[in-house]
Formats: sequence, structure tokens, C-alpha cells
Amino acid sequence: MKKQLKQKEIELLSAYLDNQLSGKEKLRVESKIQEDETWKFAFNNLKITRKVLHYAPKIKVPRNFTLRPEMVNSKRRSFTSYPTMRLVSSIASILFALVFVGDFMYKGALPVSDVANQVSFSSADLAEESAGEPMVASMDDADGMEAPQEEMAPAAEAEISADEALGNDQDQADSLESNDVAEPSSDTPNLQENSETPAARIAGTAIPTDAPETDIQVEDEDTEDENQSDTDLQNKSGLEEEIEPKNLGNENRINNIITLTKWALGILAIITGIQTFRTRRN
Amino acid sequence: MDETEMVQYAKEGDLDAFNRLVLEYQDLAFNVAYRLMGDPAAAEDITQDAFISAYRKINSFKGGSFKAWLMRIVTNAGYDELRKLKRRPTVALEPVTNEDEEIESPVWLTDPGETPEHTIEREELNSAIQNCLNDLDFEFKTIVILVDVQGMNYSEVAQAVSKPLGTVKSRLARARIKMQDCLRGFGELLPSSFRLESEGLNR
Repeated sequence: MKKQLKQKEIELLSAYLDNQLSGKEKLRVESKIQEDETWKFAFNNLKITRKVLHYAPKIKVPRNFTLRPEMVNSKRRSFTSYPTMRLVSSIASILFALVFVGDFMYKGALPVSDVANQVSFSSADLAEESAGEPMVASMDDADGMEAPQEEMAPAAEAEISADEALGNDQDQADSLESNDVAEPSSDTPNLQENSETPAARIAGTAIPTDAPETDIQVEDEDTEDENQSDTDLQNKSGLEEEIEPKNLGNENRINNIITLTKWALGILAIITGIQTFRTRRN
Repeated sequence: MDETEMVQYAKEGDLDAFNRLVLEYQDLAFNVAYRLMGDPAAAEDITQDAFISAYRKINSFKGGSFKAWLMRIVTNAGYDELRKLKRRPTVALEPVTNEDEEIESPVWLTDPGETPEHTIEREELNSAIQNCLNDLDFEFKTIVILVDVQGMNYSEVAQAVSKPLGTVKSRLARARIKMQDCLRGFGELLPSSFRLESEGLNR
């Protein structure tokens, strides 16, 4: 049994066959082939193998492969390749699930009382908006009836409750008597009107029925201050009215964005899912 | 117009110049693809895709051997196609007669000028070679096809397969030994001048 050549020796023979050896290596391999039968057989068989492969029939091209403009100008398929579509589809599905679950948990985490408060506030707010403006106008229309309203400023700043407001009927009556100067006075408090929010009352929605004529006496030096405090109060109450609806508006916008995002991700997940399926089939 | 000029024009978007390169290399590209795949229809698809890809990527060709650069695209396309086939194995469509019998001499292999004996001999040789090539791993098959079947030199092949020259030499030697072992199995089916010695196969 003949000895076997090592891999390195076969590589040398193979390279010698292709005339890829340097002078020194070439001489060494040539002498080995002449002296060693194993080398000689191995070399002959390698030579025949190469010859067989070299004479492998060449295949005629079935047609020309020249390109037409429409072949190279068509959209690249890489974007819609299977791996890309699969990746996009997976990411869209995960994001959709996250947004959906996150939104659901956020809404679920809101206490019922908060939701109820928001709803009641909105109703009160709407009532204020609808009722407040005409009253301000009517007060402005009352010529020469600049009523003293010193008590109204602290009341507004302290955000007094409806019950407290009921206890201050006299003060309110004093402050708002100017609207009803000609009317007969009455000591009976109007509970319906007093149950309104302080802000609404400050804005002029609470119309007292009793207004003592003595309270109409106002010193001239106090008029400017009173006017100033009246302006401040109106500004303040207006600010409060603006801030709350703004918060509600922001919340609505966020809800809209979340809803839109959910829809967009859902649609993207479905489209890419279908495309992935079609790409895989192709 | 020489090859460098044609490449330059092709880079500027001249499709006619690129098509001249296509005509120059389509035989080589198709034959490499055929030997890689063993199927003329698949080879046709690979060749066409490779030329489209080459045109789109022509600006990435930075000089050197255009043939080697093109062969890299062809072999990569062949590799992708083989991977796809592995994922979704299909039955090869052999040419058949009206009676559903396999045609032993497909039209693309026939040569009108040769005798029937030569035709048979050539077909047997072709079949033996292709069977043995199909048994090789892709990296060995690519190198033996480019060097021994297509006659490309080592440096071009190294460029085409993006491997060092030493790797090409080593893989070629191993591929030749594997082919030798395989072809020995065909023995008498090979033409007498191509028959390997029964003794002296050493490893």
C-alpha cells in the first residue's frame, strides 16, 4: 500500500500544476515527482482531473442577456424583500400592541371620581361661559352704578366654597347691589344663585335680589382702587376659565394622537403582514 | 472602444456601452451559473439578475478586473439562489418528450456537427462532471469552476471570491481531490483519455 500525501503536499502539487510555484519550490516538486511514485501518481491523477474539468462542455447561451431600459429603471425589490418586510411587520405589531395596552392601562388607571370631576367641571365651565359673558356686559351697561366690590377680591382668591358663599350673603349683596338699585330690597337669600361657583359669582352671574341703598355710598378716592381690583378680579377669573379648558384641550389632543397612532400602527402591521406573506410565497 | 472605456460609459448611464460588456461576458456568466446550479433555467435567471445588479452597482466598481468583479456578482447570485432552494426545495424540470420520457440530449447540449458517439460521450462526461460538482460545498465548487472549468487565473478568482490567494490555492487543491474521488466512480463512463489511474491516488 502506497503512502498518502499530506494536504500541504497536495496543495504544492496542485499549485505546480498551475505553474504557481516559485523557482525553488518548483524544483523541489519536480524532483519529488521524478523520484517518488506516490508523488507521480498523485500528480498524474490531478492532471487528469483538471483536464476533465477543462473539457467540460461549454453551454451555449439560450438567449442574449442585454438589458432594456425598463429592466434597470424598475423599482428596486430590496425594500420589499422578505427579511425587510418581516422586520417592519414585527416592529409595527409590537408597537401597536404596546400603544394599545399602554393606552388601555392609562385609561383604566384613572379613578372614576376624576372622570366624574372632569365631566362636572366641564358642565360648570360651560355654564359659566354661557352665563358669565352677558352679565359682565349688563354690568358694564349700568351707567353710574359702580358698586363697591372690595369683598369680592378676597373671596375669589380664597376660592370659597358654595357653603361659605351662602354665609356671606350680605357681603355679596353689598357688592352687587348696584345692579338692582331701583328694585325693592329683600333679605331672603337666593340659594339657587348662591350655590354657583365663586368664580361665576365674581364674574357677575350671581344676582342678588336685595341691595341696601345705604351701601351705594362710595367715596371718590376709593373708586380707582375698586376699579383696579375689579379689573384684576375679572382678569383672574378669566384666566382660571382659560386654563382649565386648555388642559382639557391638551388631553383631547393627546387622546387624538394616541388614537391616530394606534390606527396607523395597526394598518401598517396588517399591510406589512400581508406583504410579508406574499413575499414569502413568491 | 476598450473595456475600461465601456465601463466608464456604463458608469455614466450608457446602457448600450454596458450591453457591449454583457455580450462580451454573457457566455462566461451563464456557464458559471449553470455549473453552480446544474440547471439551465436557474442559470438563465441568475445570469439576467446578475447583469441587472451589475448595471445598478457599476459605480461601486473601482477598477481592477471587471471579469472578476462580474463573477463575484454571479456567484453571489448563485449562492442566494441555492439558499432559497434549500429553504424551499423544488423538483427540477427535466426536458421530456410527449410521452413523458426524459430527453437525454437537450437541445442546448446538441452540436449538429458531431457524430452520435461523440454526442453520447460528451453528455456522459457532462453528466459526470455536473454530478460531482453538485456534491461539492459551495465555496469549493465556485473555485474549481472558475479555475478549472472557466480557466481564470488565481488572482482573478481571489478577487471574485473575496479571499486571499492562499485560501484559493488550498481550496482548489481540496476541491480537485474531491472531484477526483467522485469522477473515479464513473470509471468506464468517462472517455478513455479522461480515465483516472486506478492506483496511485494518494492523500
